[in-house]
Amino acid sequence: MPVYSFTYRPFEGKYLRHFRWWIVFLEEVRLWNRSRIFQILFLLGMLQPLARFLQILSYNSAMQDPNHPLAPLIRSVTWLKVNEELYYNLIRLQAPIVLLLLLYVGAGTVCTDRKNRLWDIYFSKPIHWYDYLVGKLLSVIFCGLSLTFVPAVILMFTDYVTKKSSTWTGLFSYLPVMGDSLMFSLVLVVPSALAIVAASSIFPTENITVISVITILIANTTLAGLLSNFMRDGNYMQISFPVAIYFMGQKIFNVDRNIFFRTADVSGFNMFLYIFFVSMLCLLICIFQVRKAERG
Amino acid sequence: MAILRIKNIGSLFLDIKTSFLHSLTITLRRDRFLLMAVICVLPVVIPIFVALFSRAMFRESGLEIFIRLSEQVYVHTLTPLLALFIGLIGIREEVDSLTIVYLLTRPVSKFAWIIGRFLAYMLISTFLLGVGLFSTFFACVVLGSIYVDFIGISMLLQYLGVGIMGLMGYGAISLMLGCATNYPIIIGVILFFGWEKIANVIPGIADFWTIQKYLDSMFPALASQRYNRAVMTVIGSFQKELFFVSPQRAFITLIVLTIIFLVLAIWFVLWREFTKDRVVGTR
Amino acid sequence: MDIQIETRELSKWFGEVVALNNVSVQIPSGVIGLLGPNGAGKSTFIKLALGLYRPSRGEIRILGEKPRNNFHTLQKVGYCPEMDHFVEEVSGYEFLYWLARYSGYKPKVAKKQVERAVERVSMTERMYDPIATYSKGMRQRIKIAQALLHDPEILFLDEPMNGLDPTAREELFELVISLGNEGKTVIFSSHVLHEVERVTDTVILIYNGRVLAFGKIREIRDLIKNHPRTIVIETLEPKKVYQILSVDENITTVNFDTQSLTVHTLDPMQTFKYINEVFLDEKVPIYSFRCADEDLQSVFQYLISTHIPRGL
Repeated sequence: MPVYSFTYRPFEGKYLRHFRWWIVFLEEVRLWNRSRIFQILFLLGMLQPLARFLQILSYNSAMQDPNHPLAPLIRSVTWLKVNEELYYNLIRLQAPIVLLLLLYVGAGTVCTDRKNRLWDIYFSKPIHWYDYLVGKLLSVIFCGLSLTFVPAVILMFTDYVTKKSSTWTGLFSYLPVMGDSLMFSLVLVVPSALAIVAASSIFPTENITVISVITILIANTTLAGLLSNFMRDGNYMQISFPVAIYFMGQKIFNVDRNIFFRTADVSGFNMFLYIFFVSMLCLLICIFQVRKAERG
Repeated sequence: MAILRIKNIGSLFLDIKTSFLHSLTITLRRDRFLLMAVICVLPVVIPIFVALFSRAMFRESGLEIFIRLSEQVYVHTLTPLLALFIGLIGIREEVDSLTIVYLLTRPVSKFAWIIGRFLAYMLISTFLLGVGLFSTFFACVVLGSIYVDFIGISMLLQYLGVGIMGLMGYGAISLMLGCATNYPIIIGVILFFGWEKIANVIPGIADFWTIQKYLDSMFPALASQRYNRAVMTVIGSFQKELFFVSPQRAFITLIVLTIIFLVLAIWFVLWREFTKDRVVGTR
Repeated sequence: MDIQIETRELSKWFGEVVALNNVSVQIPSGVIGLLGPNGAGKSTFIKLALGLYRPSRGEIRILGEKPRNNFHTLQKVGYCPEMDHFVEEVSGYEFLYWLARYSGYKPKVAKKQVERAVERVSMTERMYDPIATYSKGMRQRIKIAQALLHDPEILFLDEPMNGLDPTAREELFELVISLGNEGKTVIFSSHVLHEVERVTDTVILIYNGRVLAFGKIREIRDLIKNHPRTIVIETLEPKKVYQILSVDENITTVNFDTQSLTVHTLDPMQTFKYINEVFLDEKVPIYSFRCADEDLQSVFQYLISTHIPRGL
């Protein structure tokens, strides 16, 4: 029997050596951005940034035009002011819709692949477990940041443009608040994404993943609320993961306007350690599950 | 009408028994059962923690802690969670994994299938709720002002009864959502932890469209009078005016609601086509 | 002739996609092949017959009754689905046991029925292992076993040969034939003509949601015989070959390519003979010649072109 050196036409392009996770990332984004539910949730998430956009426009025009009919009203309402706290409130109030969107996007990332036996296909390609995991995680994080950090940056730019006295060097004055917004967005989005992807790698279906994450959040927050109530000590609220994230946000933006708790008494480092520990735990679960899948 | 087309009473009971036992054997070995078991007994740590570490001069008594844990944790939080976690998922995992096609091609009445599933959910959830409530009760006894006597035990049983009524109401709605929609968890969470909470604080009679309203009416009388619901906003605060419903009426209402939602669940199973093939890789 | 399945103007559409279009057939007992390419509407037809789908128009009756939500009908039918989904962590035995219980058997009888069904598909040795550890072929056998559990009168097998090795295929062929001999109706869906031919000589041809033909395979073959067949000849001298072949009266048309020519003939056997005889004498180099339209697709193409007017 003759033996041929080439039985098929060899691949003439270049193999991706680095950034292979990009393919997984693109595939994931392609999957969810076509969904009607995602589009509706995303539009709902854009309502607040839109309102903030109008707030910035009206505030800046009122501040620069003394004859503006609404100027006295706008100046007198403190929560209409455009300052650092606006960006803190923007990201803080985005949290519920971001969580909902991340649950929608992230709950199926790993479990759907397992259910549809796509792991065999993924890992038969030159993709390692870390490419797969990084692609999946980054797609969920990207989705979260697109509703928190990205609108914040757009609003900063809007503020800069609508201020008549702006010079181009004035742009640099936004750097600190931009850094704070990025930090708070990451503190909000990254642990949530890690927790959701970890749950998705453990549980068999999207529905079970969603309800498990929600159950743990509710149980965790209820327990923290009751403990702080019975012990008459607001610090116990830190046990609640969502509250810990809010506290971190307040620390990052240096805001202390909480009705029920005094954030000044709380150690930012301890809260960071708590969030970091939970995030690392979730990351370890993800790595363990995906590596197990890669080994077959 | 297909819903009324039953073989005979004997085989109907056999079908219900099969569905019940099947659901029981599947659910008891799931990770989610363990997770819910842990969450149900978790509140026990609160009275223990208070007893060991509270340095407050006038700390809450065991009775107060038990009442608040029973109402806020077990009835208001854990019953809807159990309904979503055990009841809804019990139906939904067959639909999601597409194994429902094996059941739909068996000569089993859909009525029996749903009722069997519902009974299995009720048994498992009542067991978890009961274990949680009993352990919390005994933990609270340590703190005093509540005793293992006739009054204490009857109060415990009353809370357990209210919890079971909550499991029935929330469970029937969850089953209906599981049969009717493709995103039942999201809708369930919005309904049970969004709408229910909002409707019970905003003025007006919106709370009549919630399960919580009727559950609150069945709490021990003194406990329900402690409620002083208010909403604080940046504009001001307003107080919820409470329209009380008698426990008897609440009981009947919950039974009727349970029946209505179970009938709707059965109707959806009869009406929907669960076997539409999905393309691999899509969500 | 006892009619087991009867449809009248049966149609099913999903949104704008027409899966089954105006199908009216009367299916008798025996083994019947449901033949058609992927996406032809075979599975939709079976799901309508089982009552899993509601007809968008028309009606379907199984043993004289409408199947949807009708457990009298479901008691008499078994179904082996095409899709491969299981409760993975349970054993094959447990999976089948509960399905037997749903079929109305009491525990002891259910156990016996499971053992009997598992034996019929040669899975007795592995029945207590978790389904997650089964190979594709084993999973397929368990699916067939669950369809046989309650000894149904009508059996729907949706592409049952998927994933089976040659030995298992032979066993399944034997099983289907024996079921037919027992007097059961077996609807055997496939897109491979040879598979269907092994178990039955009666087929329903489905294409694009329409029933193109229903009858004996022999009759369909005869029908095909009457239309010109295509033969592809690979040669470096197609013009010369054409000159030689032009004397054959059976050849209707010839198409040229640089290194081949395609011939349409009314009598392929005669043309093959002619090619052999003439070219051995003429010494024209021919690398290969083959019949290009002997597959199922060409049968469909032919039936579509003769039965369905253009534009439909």
